[in-house]
Amino acid sequence: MININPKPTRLGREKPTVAIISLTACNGCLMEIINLGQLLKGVVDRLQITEFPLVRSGKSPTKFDIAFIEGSVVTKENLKTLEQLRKQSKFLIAIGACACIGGIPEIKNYRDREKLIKQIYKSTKNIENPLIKPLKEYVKIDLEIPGCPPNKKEIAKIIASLLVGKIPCIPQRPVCYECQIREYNCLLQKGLPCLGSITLGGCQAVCLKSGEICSACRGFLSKPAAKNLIKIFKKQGLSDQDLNNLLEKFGVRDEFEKILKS
Amino acid sequence: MKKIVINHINKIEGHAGMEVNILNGKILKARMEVKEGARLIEGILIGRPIEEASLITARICGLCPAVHCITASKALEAALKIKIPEPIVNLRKIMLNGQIIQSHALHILMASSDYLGLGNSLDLMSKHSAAFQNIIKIREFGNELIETIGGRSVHPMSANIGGFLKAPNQEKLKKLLEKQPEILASAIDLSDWFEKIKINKFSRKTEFVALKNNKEYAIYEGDISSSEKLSISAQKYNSGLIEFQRASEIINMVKRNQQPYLVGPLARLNIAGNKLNKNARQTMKKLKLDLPCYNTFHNLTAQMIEIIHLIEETQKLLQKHLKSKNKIYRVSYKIKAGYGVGACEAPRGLLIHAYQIDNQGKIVKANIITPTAQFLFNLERDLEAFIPSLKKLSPNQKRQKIEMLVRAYDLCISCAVH
Repeated sequence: MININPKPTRLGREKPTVAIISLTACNGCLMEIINLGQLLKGVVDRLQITEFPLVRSGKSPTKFDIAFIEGSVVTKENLKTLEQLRKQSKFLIAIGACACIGGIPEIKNYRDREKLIKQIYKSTKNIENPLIKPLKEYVKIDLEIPGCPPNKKEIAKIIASLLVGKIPCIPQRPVCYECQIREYNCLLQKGLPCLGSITLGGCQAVCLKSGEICSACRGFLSKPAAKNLIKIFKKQGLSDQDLNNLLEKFGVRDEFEKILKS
Repeated sequence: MKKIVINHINKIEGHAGMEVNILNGKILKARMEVKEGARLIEGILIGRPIEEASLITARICGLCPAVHCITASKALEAALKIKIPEPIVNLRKIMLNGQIIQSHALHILMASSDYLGLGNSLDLMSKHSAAFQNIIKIREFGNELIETIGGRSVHPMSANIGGFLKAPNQEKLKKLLEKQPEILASAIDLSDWFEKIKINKFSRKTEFVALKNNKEYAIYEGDISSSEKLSISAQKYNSGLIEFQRASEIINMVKRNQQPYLVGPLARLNIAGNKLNKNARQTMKKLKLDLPCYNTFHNLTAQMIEIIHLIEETQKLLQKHLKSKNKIYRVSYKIKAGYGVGACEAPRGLLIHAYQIDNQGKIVKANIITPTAQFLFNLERDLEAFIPSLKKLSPNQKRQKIEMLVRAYDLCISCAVH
């Protein structure tokens, strides 16, 4: 049991206070929370969402039982927000690929980022351009909900689990597991570089459903069979550059190289 | 010199504040201050395969990913000189309709709370539950349109260069068509509720810019046109719309003849209001929006009208698709070097993607102009014109009115910075 619930009252317990915050992000993770649609009412009824700048204004309390945070640390302001939220929250949840594994913005880590910024701005003065890192490299994160975007049903399940005081856990199953039980076409067998076999499932293999390869937006399994997959890719004739491109897409190239070395 | 400073404006997408300088009661200048980090999306695209453009640019914005996917695809198709057949165009139009419907519905939820005296938009759930239910229903319909065709509502992956990776499920499309009358009724119901909202009074003449074509209320294709004399093809966008960066600011803003201009729902209505569908036209009358309308607070009203128009339009497109015997979902293409521009109407206005590609199918240069980057300049001029009328109000009331004007624009800071 985790103690996220605030003090007991005569009628049970007060509702946990919740913050939903974004750093530099696309707000797609927050959209998935709002896209709970009819389910959203159930969530809102059971929680006190006291900090959610996307939909509410006004002063908010300074302590939270649960906090969701999406996005990357790009500015000093972002870092301040993250560190402050850590101090304010009992249970801090990183949500989405940017927060959990670096995501799309991490692509620049593998490029000359000084050169890259000059392609966009005439004046780069005062524009911050740091390396992109997952949030757990800045503060302690209690739970990661991965995915770009995360799966809204998974979000609802995790909230439900927290409400009964259980620490939610995402089962260590690959995307392939969910792909096969849904009988989608195996794109790896078709000769495409699909990362589903080493990627943490929970997305219901949604990309495969659309005929798109898995690009590991949920990060890797804890013990991925990366070396085997590399052999298959090599046999298929995937060039090193194409492999790097694929791994960079959601910022897992560094992670993958670490796994290969270990 | 006095200053009005708002550090963070809530209920908008992203992080932004505002500063207004006042000297002897006269407004000197208003500046929007954007506090979002730059993700350098145009930079990270360089050197990457063209097929990734729609997936990567979708991540510019979680509120309008589908329109980025489609605009990127269109630009690359222009570079490759591929012609897209009508059945694919129709499906893309349905996706764009879904995108605008769901985004507008969310914004009505976010911005109407100001008029109802609610700080928290989610309070609509208990205090205006019928309207809230309608908004949720309309949003879900929009999302389902995107999901059924694009594979997922946030960051769809099926829409790419040449069409779709996978054919959409026909049964699901049929169900959506069956659901359409109910959703239209919900939207009309919502507009009855909307009628009670007293939109702020304000007027400042500006130039409206939107896509325009002779056939329809343009969303997917057309020339970049304005209420003044602008009419250029998307390919020549930079002959009329000029990007500029102010010292140490993070947004490349856009101007026309040195002046600001407005894009978005109100601009579209002003340019093509005569092409609205029947129910949308009636709603415009009911909500007493007369064209031309220079009150940017009415951007919200324009969103309500567009929701109804696009739900009607979706019915026509779904019928056309389901009836058609010639169902094509994807055309093949050959990689070659080239330059191409794509333009679509995003929920917040004109969106432009431009790419230079090499003969290996890699992106050499990318430029993306988002609606918010275009209208921020106009918003600043609006603020300068609007704030003097607030003299008699308390600082709190003043702040609230200013925020309402900012929110009427439905800013998307993530898009603006990207």
